[in-house]
Amino acid sequence: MLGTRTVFTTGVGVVVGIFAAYRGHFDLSRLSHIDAGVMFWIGAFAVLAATFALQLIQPIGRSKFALSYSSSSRLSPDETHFLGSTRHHIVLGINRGEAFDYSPRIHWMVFFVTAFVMGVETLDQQAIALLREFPGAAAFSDSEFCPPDLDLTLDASNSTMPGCALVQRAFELGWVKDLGRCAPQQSTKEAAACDRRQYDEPLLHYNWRRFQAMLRSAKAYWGEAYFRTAWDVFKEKSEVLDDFYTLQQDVIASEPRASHHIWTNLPNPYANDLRTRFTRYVGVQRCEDNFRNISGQPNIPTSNPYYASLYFEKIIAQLLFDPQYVPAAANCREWKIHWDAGADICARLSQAPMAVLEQSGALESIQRLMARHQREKRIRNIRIHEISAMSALHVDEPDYAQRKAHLLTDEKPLNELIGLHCYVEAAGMSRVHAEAEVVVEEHALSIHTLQMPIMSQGIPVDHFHAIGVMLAPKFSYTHFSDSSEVVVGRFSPTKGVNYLAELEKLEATNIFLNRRALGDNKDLFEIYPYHIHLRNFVSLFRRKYTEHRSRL
Amino acid sequence: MNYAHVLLLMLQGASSASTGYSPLGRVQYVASAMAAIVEADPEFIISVRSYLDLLERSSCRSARASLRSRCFSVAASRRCRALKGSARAACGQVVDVMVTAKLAEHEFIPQRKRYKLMMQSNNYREAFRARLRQIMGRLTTAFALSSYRGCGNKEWTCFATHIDSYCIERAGSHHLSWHYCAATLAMFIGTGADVPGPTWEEE
Repeated sequence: MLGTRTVFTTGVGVVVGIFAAYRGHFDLSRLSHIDAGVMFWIGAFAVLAATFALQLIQPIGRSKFALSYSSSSRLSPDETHFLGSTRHHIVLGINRGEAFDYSPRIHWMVFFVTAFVMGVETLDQQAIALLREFPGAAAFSDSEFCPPDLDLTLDASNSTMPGCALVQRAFELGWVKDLGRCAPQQSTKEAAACDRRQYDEPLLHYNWRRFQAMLRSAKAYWGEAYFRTAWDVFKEKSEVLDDFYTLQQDVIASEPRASHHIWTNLPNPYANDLRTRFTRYVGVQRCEDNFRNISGQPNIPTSNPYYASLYFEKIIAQLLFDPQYVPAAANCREWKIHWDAGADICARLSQAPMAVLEQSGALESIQRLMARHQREKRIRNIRIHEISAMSALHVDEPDYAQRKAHLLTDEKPLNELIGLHCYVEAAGMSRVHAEAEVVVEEHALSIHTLQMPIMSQGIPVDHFHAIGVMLAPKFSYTHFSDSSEVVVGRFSPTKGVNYLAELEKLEATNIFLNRRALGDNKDLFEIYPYHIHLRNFVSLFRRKYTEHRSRL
Repeated sequence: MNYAHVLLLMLQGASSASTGYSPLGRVQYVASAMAAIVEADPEFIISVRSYLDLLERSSCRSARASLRSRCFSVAASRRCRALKGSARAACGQVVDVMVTAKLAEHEFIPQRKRYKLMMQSNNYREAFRARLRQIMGRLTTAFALSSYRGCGNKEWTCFATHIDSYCIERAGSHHLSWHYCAATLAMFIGTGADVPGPTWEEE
């Protein structure tokens, strides 16, 4: 025989237990991720709720009724059939003390677990924050009242107007016919109607006004025109459902939002590096990791057979990706250097771009980007149409105008998203920049080409400048564009005194502006503070670059 | 790096000693400056430090780092004018290291951070001194834990060789100029971490 209270508590416990197990609330590792503050409030809520529930049933004492199993067809006068057949059934009877009941502590435990599971299910960081803010949100703040009327008209007699007291006096005496600038001015701006609560307005009246306003605005949503427009927009959206889905997929998978390629005749420095090839192949090495802490010093030994390739990659990385000079101008996953492309690559790229793109594997990424660009364009147009249609129905969403303006200006031309560059380095070549136009998939794209002599030892300042211009054609770095304290002249330490303090002059000696500033002194190249001048150079480059390029 | 390397540097340096900033020249200068700091009277170091602090707020106050640096060097080296011979040279080296370490303070705690310290602490001077000591200590600890460790007590040439290599590496990776790094390490190690902090309260 079981007391009904015990049966009820057991039932609640079983249901909550199954639910909690299904939702994973008994998983300690999951519980450990809950913020300590949130856990405290959940615990406090559970203790209070369990104690309150127990207090509700405590005065009743033991269960008044009890459930028992019976196979007899005869029932005593204080028993009634509860569940089952005539032979096997559960009967409900008055409990005279013989029924089993849980102790209050066990009841409390079951209620506590129930309240705890409810808390974990419903309370999170945001809910706690909302609860905390509730008292403040419930109270009226000054901003909910209309401001008191302020008389902003200018009064000629106002002595604060400089010189007006004398003009006013002269006008009164008839010496002048008009007051000129001291004449009382009418406010040209009509005060906008304030529909917030007046300071002397009863709360009930204010709420009634708000209710009426709500009814008025709701009419726009109830009309036939609204439903027809909403249906049209829905049909339009459903036709491009795949676009919406793919767009979400692109966002979740962090698909590239631009596609830039550089073809060069320089050899691939990683061609024989098995470690790099393996880590790239299995995907454990991200380009962001490679370009995280690039040394500002020219620390690639010239004896390295891939010196030119490594330095070229370093310049690209310093200009575009290096996070030490925030903000980064591009994402390295959207850039690809095609090594060993041959000395005639620039000519081939201009004459037969599709063949080069296909052969080097660049076409696929460009096509993917073009498809994404088209998708975004279609979705943007639908959104603009939706906003225009809804605005015409006077459905007043507060940010409609802002959203529409943003959507209209958000379209980015493909030429900003796709970059085709060609870099050729050879002995005896002089610096030559060129720009050509090619058609890829019916879109006109620019190719920026650069020919340079072979990099010299030390820091290749000319290459920094030239590659900067290749990537951002409007970029130029002069001592007018550098805001730092710059000495364009040569570094000349005073011999014999202040050996270390003299090096302070290097801080202001910019070799990016005067490549002869250190002369041929290799020792000074070792201790030169590249980071200072490189920071200025890269910052200016990135400003120009972001004017020229963008991402989806 | 070991003594064989130093010997190699000396041989290399013999050909380029005229530049003054050859690896050998740098090592020799830092080593002799560290020895001079150790030998220097602590009272002298404190007085130079106070003088530099005073100059920073008075006659050497300038927004241009190059002017500030020149002013510090000229004014502080007057302290050694009364000395003669090797004592004067050693004094000049101590002053040079101290001036450079003083200039490095602007790199370690730039204006923006100074303002933040001022807003956050009740005693700005104490907070500034603690922060500076912390930064210098962190740099020295990083040096001591790097691959350039292992010099014995008062092996100044070994220390200087390691400091030179470490600071070149540090300039590339941590954007700290070589001379700031070398002067700060020489000062911190030379004074046995007992670097006198800013001495404003002595005004």
